[in-house]
Amino acid sequence: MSDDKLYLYLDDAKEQLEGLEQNIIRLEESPDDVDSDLINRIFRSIHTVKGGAGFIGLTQIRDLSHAMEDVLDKIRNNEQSPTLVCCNILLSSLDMLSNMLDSPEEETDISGQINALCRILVEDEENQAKVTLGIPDIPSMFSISQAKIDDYESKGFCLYIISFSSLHDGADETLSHDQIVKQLNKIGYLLDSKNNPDEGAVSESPQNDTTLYVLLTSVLSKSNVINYLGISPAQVHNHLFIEETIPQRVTTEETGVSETVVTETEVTETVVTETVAGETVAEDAVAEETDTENTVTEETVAEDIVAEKTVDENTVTENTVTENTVIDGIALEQVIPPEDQFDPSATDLNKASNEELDQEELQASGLSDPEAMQTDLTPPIDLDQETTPCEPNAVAPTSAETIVELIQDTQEPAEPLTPQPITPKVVTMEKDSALETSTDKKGNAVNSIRVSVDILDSLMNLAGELVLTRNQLNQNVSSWDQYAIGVAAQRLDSVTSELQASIMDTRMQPIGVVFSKFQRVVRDMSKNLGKQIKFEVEGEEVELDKTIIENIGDPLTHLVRNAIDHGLESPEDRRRIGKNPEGTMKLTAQHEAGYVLIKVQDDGAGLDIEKIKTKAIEKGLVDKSRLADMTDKEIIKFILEPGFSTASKVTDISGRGVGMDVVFTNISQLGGTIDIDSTKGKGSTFQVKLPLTLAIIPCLLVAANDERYALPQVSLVELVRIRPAQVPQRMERIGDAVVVRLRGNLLPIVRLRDFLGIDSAEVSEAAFDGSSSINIVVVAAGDFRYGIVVEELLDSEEIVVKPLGQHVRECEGYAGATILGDGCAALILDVVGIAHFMNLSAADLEKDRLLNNAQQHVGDEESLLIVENSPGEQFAIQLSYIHRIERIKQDQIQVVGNKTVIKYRGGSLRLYFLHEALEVQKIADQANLFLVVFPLDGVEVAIVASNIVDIIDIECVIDKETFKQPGVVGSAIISEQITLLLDVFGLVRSIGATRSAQQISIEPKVDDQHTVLVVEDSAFFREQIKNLLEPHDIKVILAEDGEIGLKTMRQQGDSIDLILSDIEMPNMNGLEMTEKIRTMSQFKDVPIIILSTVDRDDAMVKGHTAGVTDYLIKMDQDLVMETVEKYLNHTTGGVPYEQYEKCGGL
Amino acid sequence: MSNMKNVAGSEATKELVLFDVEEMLCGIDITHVQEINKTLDFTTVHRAPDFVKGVLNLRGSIVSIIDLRTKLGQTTIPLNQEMRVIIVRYNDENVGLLVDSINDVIEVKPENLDALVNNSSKVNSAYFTGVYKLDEELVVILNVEETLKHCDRGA
Repeated sequence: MSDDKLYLYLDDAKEQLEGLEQNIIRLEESPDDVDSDLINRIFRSIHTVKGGAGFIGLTQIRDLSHAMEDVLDKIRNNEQSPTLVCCNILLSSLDMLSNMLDSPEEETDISGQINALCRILVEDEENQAKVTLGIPDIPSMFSISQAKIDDYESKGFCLYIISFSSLHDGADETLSHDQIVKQLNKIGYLLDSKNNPDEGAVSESPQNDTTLYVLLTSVLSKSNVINYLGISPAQVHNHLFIEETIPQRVTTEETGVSETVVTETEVTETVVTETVAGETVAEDAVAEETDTENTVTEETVAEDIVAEKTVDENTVTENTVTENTVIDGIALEQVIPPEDQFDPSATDLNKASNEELDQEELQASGLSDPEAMQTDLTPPIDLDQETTPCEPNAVAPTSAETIVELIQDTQEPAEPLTPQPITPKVVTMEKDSALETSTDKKGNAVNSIRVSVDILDSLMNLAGELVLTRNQLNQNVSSWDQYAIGVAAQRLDSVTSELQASIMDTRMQPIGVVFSKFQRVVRDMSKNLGKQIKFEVEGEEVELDKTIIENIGDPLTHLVRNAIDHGLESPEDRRRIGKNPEGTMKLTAQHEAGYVLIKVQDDGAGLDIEKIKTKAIEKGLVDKSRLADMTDKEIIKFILEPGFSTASKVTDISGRGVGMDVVFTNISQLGGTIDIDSTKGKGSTFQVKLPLTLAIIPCLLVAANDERYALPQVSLVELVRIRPAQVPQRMERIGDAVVVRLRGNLLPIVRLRDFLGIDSAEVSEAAFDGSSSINIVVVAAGDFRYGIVVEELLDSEEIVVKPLGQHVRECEGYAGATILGDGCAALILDVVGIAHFMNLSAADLEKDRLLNNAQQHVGDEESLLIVENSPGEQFAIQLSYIHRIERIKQDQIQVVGNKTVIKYRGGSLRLYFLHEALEVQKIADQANLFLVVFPLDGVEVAIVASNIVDIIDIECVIDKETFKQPGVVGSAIISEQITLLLDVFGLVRSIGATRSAQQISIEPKVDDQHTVLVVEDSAFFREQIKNLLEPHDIKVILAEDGEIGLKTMRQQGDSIDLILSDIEMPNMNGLEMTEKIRTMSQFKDVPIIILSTVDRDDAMVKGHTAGVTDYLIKMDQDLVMETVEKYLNHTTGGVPYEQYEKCGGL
Repeated sequence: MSNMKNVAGSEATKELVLFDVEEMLCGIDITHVQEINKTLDFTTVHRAPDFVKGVLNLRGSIVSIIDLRTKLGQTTIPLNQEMRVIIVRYNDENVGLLVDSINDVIEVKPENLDALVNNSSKVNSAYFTGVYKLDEELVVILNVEETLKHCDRGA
């Protein structure tokens, strides 16, 4: 027996069972309206399990699944409704089945379960009694429903039990077991099979190990079957029916075919094929048996048992002699086209069959005349009376006693065949065979994993790449081609990363695998405890490493059970306190910053803090005075201590005080954490945080005190460097905490040295004195962000996480260790642990942040680049104008004529200094300067700044009056400093940019100024455009959104010559407004120009349909001006807007 | 205490690895010893218990190094060339014991084994299982389990 085959089967069967639970629960949910797809799916899975088990010889699994199948069949045929009782039994059977699959070597008592399953049937179908079939020495080998037998009988099928003996050491594989199955399926339908050890047979023929029995139904007569299969007559037994274990009658052969049966059998066939694909163990047995010797181990039942016996014994001897015949028979079968198989004409042959009939002859003479068969079989004629003493149609129901006697008679003469009941024997045999390999098998079964072919292909491909790269590298190393080695190394790098990713992929599994089983847990428990529970599951698709998936099940089960048992109240209690009697239980999984968060939430009673306190004191875990200082959260943590339970009564589900500490240990072992939140009367949340994988993570290496530490990239948000000069300004102390201002927010700061405990308090006090620049690694611990000050930022590296030894594991703040490229060990920092250890919390800062925000008032949100001209002079530039920021050395600047330029990207870049236009200081001499590059008239120009301060998203109030001057939009307070908002275009122009096209000339309107309506939600842009237009003697009316714009048009639309509008605006967007304006007939010709940052064709098309005249990109002021000029000049002539379209468009 | 039994009660030859910790000559049952390592390139683990000298990369696994001087209540000294790390197996993981030097490996004669006489107030007697008499001096036999166990909760 091959273990591989067994494990293949077990794996396959387990897979079949996956999800069955939920399906059955779903079935139960709608007992009146059975979803046929659903029940078919369930049926198919069980059927597959059964089929395989039968062929492998796992009789218990086979029997149990068979019984389940019967019940399911009833449900499928709407003869039985999936009631609660019924589903309970099905579910418990399922549990038993999967237990048996987990440990096939163990003996399980399935009789109770099978009885329970049968009772379902019996209740429903008194008349559908089960019938057991057997042969004299094994009276109850197969069990089949009476109805089925009746069905077959009425259709003229005969039932046979055929035995194949297997040879323990037989090596001939020429006739495989699937060939046998094929053969059997050609002449009839394989209903069932049983692998059956027979001690008698063993002693009779020492080579025999097991005997495979198959239950075959066929229209062929016995002799035909014998001939066709080329087996000894003694191997074929006419079936024996024993109803309800009481032998009742001996039936023989019937003929006829029916479609229903065909369907039925197709199922069987599928099973058989699948099993074959799995290369089951039985295969060997069958193959060997058929190929070598037909050692007869069983006797046919007949009326004249004694006579039969003699015959059989004869056959035994004969048969052992006639190996050739058998092989011929097989050859024959392979030659015959399938259509010809049912070749019945073998009337003669049948007669001959008992006397060593030549199979060649059989083929030649008979198997070609179907009609003959028909005639032969319609009135079933027994053609082999000599061997088969039971008369066809001699359905002579013998009394039970007779049969029993007969059986005994048969068994006694056949010495070695002991009349033992079969089941115990089977079990023993299975046990033995399984025990031999149980260890090996365990390993096999547990350690296999299913991987999608795509991933395998990519692995294969990458492995190929790896080999190629190695070759390349070898070659280049031997030739010392430095450059080529570099290339190969680079390739190696990318192949390795990809390979690594693919391999990790194979390990990732969705957490749904684990979650799915909770449906059942919740269902069972709610039934047991009489609680109504609404169970919600979210995030089943979240993937985790296989090891974690395998190990998270138990702790989660504990949490779920606890929540249901202790957490949720009974419906009465809930109703009393005004809650929905149906409790809610929520299981969610989500990604968070490289971790997976699994939450088990209930809306039950919550944890009783007082009880925990009492218990904690009782247990001596803490004294009263310390307890008083502890927060609720800390108190709740006591439930994670061993032996701690607050349940006043112990139930069989939970409350024995073992559990939470186990949960805690298990989760810690997985590198996870558990966080408990509970509000009395509202419910509890257990939050388990797990790493995605335990293996390889990308890290940033940082250093403090000349020691290297790794910071997981997943918790990294950004890196901030603060120059010495800015330190006093940006770092602040709030109480004990040091914070840094980052884009308008306050960020708590921790020095890595402080965490490590290297510096004394005085040293760390003095750390932010501005004597050196500061590197801050901004990290996120969940929602909470903070900065870690490190001395050096080294490199980004993928590291392999290694666990720390038990003596250092207790230290908070380390997530493990790793080995760096130079072989040294380095510690991995745990940002959550550090925050916890350093007592950082967002709470203190929250107030301050709110205050900060409040000061800034509500205005338009802008992304601004904050630059410094000289210290203390802060300017803001609209980020959307800027192409890029460059850092240059002062000595790169050249002065050509009266222009300052720099060599830049193969050309020259014109530089403008702020002091040229504004009343500000000249930038002091410093080594490095920053250029803010932006486009002007199609070429790039740059404004020089001494320092880049920050980029902020800010809603600021712009003061347009105080600092009004060319090039300045207004001023605002940003980071508590007065900041001028620059109009870079105006600024550059005012400095004296020359542009011929700059001379925009707008023909004055005859009677009045031109009036332009500017609809724009950004105050900044509104001002910009206003500044742009007003110098050209254009009256500008401003509107903040589409609605106001529309209102303005309604009120004073007649005076408006042109509309400039943004698209994205609150209340009403530009396109809506355009449409509305166009519906007013008097304005259908007013040019409407859309200014947008959205540079997309579809937006333009939309604009056109809405009635937009032209579509411009906001940033290009010159184009805006030109376009305005163009349309205004035309408007005086009153051209309808359609015509503008021709000149419009970008 | 199992050590004692092992050493005292066994017929088979037992061996002790002898090493120095300050002025003490200590012995450790050789079956505990995985290897003896010269590498002293430890990575400091700040905020770990004081007897943890650091961690070491031992062919791909991270091993905590216990400074026996500190553990046995003696003054710690800077690392020097003579120092060795005895890698022992404890609770399914390797732990390194930093000792001043390795002295010898000897075969144990059962008759020379003696129970521990607690005459040194300096040293916690729980860390030793017994005394072994050499010709000139006494060897105290280290109880590995006890020595390492007490570190579990950060002492």
